[in-house]
Amino acid sequence: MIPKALVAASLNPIILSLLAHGEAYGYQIIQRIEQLSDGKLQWTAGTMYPVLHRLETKGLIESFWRPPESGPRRKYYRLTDKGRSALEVEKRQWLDVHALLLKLWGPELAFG
Amino acid sequence: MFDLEKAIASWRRSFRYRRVFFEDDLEELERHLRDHIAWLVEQGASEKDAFHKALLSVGDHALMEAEYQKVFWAKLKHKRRFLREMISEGAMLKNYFKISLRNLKKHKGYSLINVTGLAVGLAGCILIMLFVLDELRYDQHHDKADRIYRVVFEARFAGDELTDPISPAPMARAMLEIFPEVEAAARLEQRSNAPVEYKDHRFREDRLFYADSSLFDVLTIPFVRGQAETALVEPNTVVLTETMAQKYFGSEDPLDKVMSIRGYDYRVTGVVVDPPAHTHFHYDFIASFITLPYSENTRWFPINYYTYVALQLGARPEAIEAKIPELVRTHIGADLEEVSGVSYEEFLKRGDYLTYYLQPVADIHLRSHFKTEIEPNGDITYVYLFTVIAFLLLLIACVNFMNLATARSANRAREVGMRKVLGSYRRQLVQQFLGESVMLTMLALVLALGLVVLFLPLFNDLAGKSLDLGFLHEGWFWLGIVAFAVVVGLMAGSYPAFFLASFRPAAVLKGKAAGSARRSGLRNGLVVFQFAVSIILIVGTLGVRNQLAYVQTARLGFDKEHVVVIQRIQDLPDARRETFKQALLQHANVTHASASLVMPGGESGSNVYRRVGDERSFAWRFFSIDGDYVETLGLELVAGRDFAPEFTADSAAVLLNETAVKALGWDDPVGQILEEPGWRQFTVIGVVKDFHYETMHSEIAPLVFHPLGVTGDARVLAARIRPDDIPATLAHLKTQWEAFAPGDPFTYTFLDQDFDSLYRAEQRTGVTFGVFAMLAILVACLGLFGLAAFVAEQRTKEIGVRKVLGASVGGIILLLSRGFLKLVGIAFVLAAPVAYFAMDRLLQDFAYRVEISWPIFLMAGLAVLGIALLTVSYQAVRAALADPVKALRYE
Repeated sequence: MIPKALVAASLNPIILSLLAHGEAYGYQIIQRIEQLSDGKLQWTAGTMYPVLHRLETKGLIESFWRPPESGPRRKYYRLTDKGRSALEVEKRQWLDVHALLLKLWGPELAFG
Repeated sequence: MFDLEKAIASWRRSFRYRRVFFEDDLEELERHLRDHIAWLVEQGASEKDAFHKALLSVGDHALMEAEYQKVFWAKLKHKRRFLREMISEGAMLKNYFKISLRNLKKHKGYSLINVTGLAVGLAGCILIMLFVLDELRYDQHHDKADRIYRVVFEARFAGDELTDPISPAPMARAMLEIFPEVEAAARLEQRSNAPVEYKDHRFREDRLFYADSSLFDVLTIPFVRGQAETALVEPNTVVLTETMAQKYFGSEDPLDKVMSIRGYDYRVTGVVVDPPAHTHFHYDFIASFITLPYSENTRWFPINYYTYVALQLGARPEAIEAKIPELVRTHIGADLEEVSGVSYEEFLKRGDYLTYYLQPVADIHLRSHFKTEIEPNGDITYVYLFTVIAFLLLLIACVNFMNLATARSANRAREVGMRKVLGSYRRQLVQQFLGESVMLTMLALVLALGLVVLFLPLFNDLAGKSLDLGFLHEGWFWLGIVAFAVVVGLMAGSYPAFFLASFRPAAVLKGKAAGSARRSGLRNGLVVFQFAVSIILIVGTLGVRNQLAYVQTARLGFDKEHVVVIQRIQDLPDARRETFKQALLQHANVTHASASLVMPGGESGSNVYRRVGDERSFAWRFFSIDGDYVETLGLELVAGRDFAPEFTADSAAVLLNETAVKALGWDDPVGQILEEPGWRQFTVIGVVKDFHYETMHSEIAPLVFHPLGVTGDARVLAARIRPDDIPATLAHLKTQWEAFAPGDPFTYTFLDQDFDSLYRAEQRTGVTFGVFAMLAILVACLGLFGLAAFVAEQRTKEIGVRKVLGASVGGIILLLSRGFLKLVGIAFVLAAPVAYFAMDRLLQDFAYRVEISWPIFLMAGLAVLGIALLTVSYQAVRAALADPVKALRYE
């Protein structure tokens, strides 16, 4: 299991990245993330929805209601242009951290 | 048995009263829960197990509240901005509308007063704006409107300032040849009273012009028949308007027909469209300029034609004006020397000058007031004055609206309180009240348009206009008017809206909202403003009327009553004129008759005079009269004698007025010699007491009387008649005229009416002021009436208690009226000085004027006070006479 702090920190980029592939509703997002992380990342509705709402107020994503084939309507989310550029920034930062970690874990690094 | 729906409903209930969850959050969560349950059931779980398992992963309000709390405020702000909220506001809108209508219906009287007041104000404002727009449209229809100019002459000649919008014959060609900036130039000359004839159609025409063919390159005058380029090139050719073509030729084709104008044959070479109403130059016939005998004159004197020029695109008039002095020196200098008797250098040295400047054609209607305009023009001052009045009227109406709405706000405080408790935002409340106000304005607008349509004919009379309802078909009008209504609605509703929306619900619901001191202070301020404006308008009305009464009854120095002026006698030969005069005198009711060039108030010519042998000369007005003029008009001879009836004997004699004698410095004028510099000499035979031969706008100037034939021939014949049986006398005059001038129409005027009509502009101002003052007062009173009703209602209980304790009806009326009367008093104190300065400015045009006296102010103040008192007392009396028992049961 991934610790709570890391889950919280990675929520934003993960949601933005997922929505970059297309629109989705909340339950779908949770399911997809669970699948893609092989069950290592399990979000609760209580954590994810407020994050979605916050991203919406910041204008990074937008929401709309859509009636499904059956049952009550669902609230869908999709990335805005602003969200797309925010994702680019986020991506670079995570890649920077990732690159640093890779270097630190690499064999050739020595303190001289 | 497990019921999934019940379980979900009960789960959802646990969120009730948790404000961090919005309605759509719960919908989203519920859908999530259902999706999860459905998935678990698909995996084989029972509904009950699935529900409990899903509940663990979704959580109840207790688990989620902290997380949702973190974004609550951000979401709140965000939601307000977005569509989501707007959808729920759709329902609110319906509610607002319903409540507004209910309010209107419930307080019919108040709504009526409010809407009527605003409608009257708006209607007045729309009428005035139509007038102003119409005035500003003059001469804008020419294709080159912004680069057409009229050449204006300006000079100081022997110490006298002369200016007129006319130029000498060679000016147009010189402009075109010398200045590359000039694209086209044309001369224009008007001839009135011209006999025009075609077959059996015979009329006298006043709108006959002579113009160069280039006129059509300068002004835009579209041709229906014929070619603009060739129409006026040959002598004795004429173009006429469609109306004239119809009048003279009917269904015939006028082209190449020959008609008689002023006794000569003219070939019709074109038909042009009728001139639009908005132009300073209305023509019926335009004949070729080259027909005129002096059209090819190359001398720079006399100065007697209108000259219009169109400049090249982008050329500046200043560039031409800068080169005018050079033109005057090189081209006009020699001719000037001949006329003035001194060289151009000396002419300049003695302080005289001569120049020409360019006047934009669009300025002619409103900003040009020369003696020799083609038509009487409008005045930009009136445009400004009217605009100010329209604005004031609108302001009063808006103030009224605001005042009544705020006053009523006490009654709506509870509604506001309730809405706030139920979660209305301040912004929503502001929107609600602004919306209501805009709705009322629209209602008032519909009413106002009705009033405009109804009163347009009356307004046309008043303003001397012929505005029509054509604007109702114009898109811009509707766009403008709706935008206008929205702006007014927002303006008028803004104060009450913000004021109401800022109520503290707790205080309001406890009943504390009514009548805070600060609020009534503002309301009182608005009432003071309204009445101050009313007082200023009344003072304006009375002031202008006073002045008019003064100029119309002032001793003019001659008797203008009971004088019939027969026009256009110039066609009678001298001998026949004399017999005609004698024939008129045959009637017992005709006591005097006199032929002359011009009557007092008419346009007299001017001439240059000096004491014989003197250096200094004067440009003075002159009258050409016969030997009966002085007696017929009741002028007073203070020295010497009148012209002999056999006037040819006196051709070298002149009469002077007192001012002329004073200017010449003669103590004993009779027998002195006056001369036209370098030409004729005249002996002064008598002195006429000063009289007002021009309007009271100007001071009495020196005047010289010549016998007929010396400086001008007779054009009018004045007959003094007895006041009894005027129709019979007029019939006699007509019969005689028809005997002497068969076929010519008999046209006459009354001298007193002619003279009064010189003050038409002032009369118009007076009436306009009066009407709008009345409107302003009406609107202000409607407001006051509403306010008084409101105050009386507010104090119902107090009045009841006072009556029970023994207060008299009179005492209560006084109690209720006192406050308003104080406001009128303050308004008077504020308005008086403003009104004084405004009147002073307005009457500045008159050389002779009445003092702006205190009775006017007193009258205006008392009138407003009386009207206010009447308005308020109706409500006060009603309140005072009410049964105290009912009053105390009230609420």
